[in-house]
Amino acid sequence: MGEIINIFLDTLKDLWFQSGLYALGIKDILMILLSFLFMYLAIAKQFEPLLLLPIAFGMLLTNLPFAEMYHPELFSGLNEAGDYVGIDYGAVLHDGGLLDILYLGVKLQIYPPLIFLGIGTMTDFSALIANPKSFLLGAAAQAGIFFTFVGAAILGFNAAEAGSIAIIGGADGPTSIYVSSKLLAGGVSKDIDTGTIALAAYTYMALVPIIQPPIMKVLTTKKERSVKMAQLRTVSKTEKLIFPIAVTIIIALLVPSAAPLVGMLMLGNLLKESGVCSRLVDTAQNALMNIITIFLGVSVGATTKADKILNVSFAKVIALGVVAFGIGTACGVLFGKIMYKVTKGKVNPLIGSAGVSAVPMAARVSQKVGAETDPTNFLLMHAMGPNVAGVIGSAVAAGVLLSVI
Amino acid sequence: MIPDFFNAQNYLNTVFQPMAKELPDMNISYVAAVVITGLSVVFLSLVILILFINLLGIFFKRKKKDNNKTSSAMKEQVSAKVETVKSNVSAEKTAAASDDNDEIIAVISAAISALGDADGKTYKVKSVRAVSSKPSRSSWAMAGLQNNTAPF
Repeated sequence: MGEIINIFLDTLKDLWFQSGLYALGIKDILMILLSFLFMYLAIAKQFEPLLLLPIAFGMLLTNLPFAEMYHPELFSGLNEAGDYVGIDYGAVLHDGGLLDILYLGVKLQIYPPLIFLGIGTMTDFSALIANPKSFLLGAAAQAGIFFTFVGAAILGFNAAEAGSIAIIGGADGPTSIYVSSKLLAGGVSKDIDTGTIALAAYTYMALVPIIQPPIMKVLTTKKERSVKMAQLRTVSKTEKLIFPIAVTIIIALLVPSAAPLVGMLMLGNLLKESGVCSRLVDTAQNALMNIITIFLGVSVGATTKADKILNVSFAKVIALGVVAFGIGTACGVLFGKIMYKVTKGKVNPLIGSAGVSAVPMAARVSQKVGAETDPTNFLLMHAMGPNVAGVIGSAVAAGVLLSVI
Repeated sequence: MIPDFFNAQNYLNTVFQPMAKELPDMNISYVAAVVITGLSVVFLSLVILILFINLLGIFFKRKKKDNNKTSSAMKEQVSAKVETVKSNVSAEKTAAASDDNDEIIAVISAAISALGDADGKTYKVKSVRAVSSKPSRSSWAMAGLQNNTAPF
């Protein structure tokens, strides 16, 4: 009888040592609570729920001890002695869990260009073709990226880390993931990884309607905000067909490292504008996009292990991220003001803030702030020009960062 | 005994030893260089795109003009048809009487008349008045705008 009780107690003890509860530390608990907060923001507040919810759940899964779904050590590229020996992708396929395999799409920069393909099939460039000057606003808003680079340098980050943090100012999730995953490869950072950058980027993209309006209102007068812009000209189908091909050639020749992002964006757009590939367009903008979004979200969430998030560096990333966003918005609006002056009041400076590329959220914010001043003012179409120019602009800025660093 | 030289793993380890990436120093001149090159390259690329699209626009405007010339004869035929439609409709026009407006009034009257055929009654357009004397966005443009902006 005593033996049975002993075996029973031993088994219970083993079960306890193997359970997640035994290994659950205070940091894990904090991260799980943080994942609950993101789930709340995604579900109740609808902050970018399509991405934030998978990210939050990935965060939950990865911080449950012994669940073994994601192994950061497989991607560190360090051997047991702590020397950098490169990532052994064979080992990832051999020993990796589900999330390790999905994370390969982030690590090898496969997901961001595919998401750009989907975005291309959903983007209408006519507002930009009708008013090409919008490109200037799209370029001005990228200033946030480069000024944040300075901020990150001051805070003591190395070049690769600074570049990855700065790209958050482009307000473009896939671009941030693409750039940070390329720059941070090769064991150059101990504190920051792609997951950290993506989490900050998507959080700020969700907060665009909160961050932007105060900056826009401070920098503009009521008179400037109430400018009604002239109706845009109609764009012919041939122009819409030539645009993606020409942009790909020009950008890929000027900044080759931007080619994967711009090329896929423009492929998607050409498929849409051609009007003869409706099945491919349907897949790219629905099925493929949704699949990649799930993979991307959950695997990015999985990289948010407690030691990567609960540290000073992440706090710095969050602070610099909001600076990057603010400067980008401000530069866009200020450039809009210059255009207002040059065109003698024909351009509403509010469309400048849409130059940060969060599509179509930033354009929606321009529309909303404009309508607050004059409810009969419709800025949305005019703001879509700088908005899609911002996507191209941040891809170019990404290319520049990749080639300079 | 095979010398170490032929041991593939050793060879790989000595020759292809992966190195951690070398990063540039973050001194002031480097940071300034990144900011200046970054901004100028972004602006330059997008300015080139602006020039290209402007050229494209000029080209297409010219082409459109040529098309307009050749199709003017066709337009005359169409307007003759519109005249016959208009003569059947008793529309009293107090709005600005441009050719475009006549055409739109004729089409709307025809639509109303077709509606009458369906339920056995006859409708007559008695007057068309401008809603406000202030020139603003047309109701068609407003409807279009609302339709486009509704999803946002």
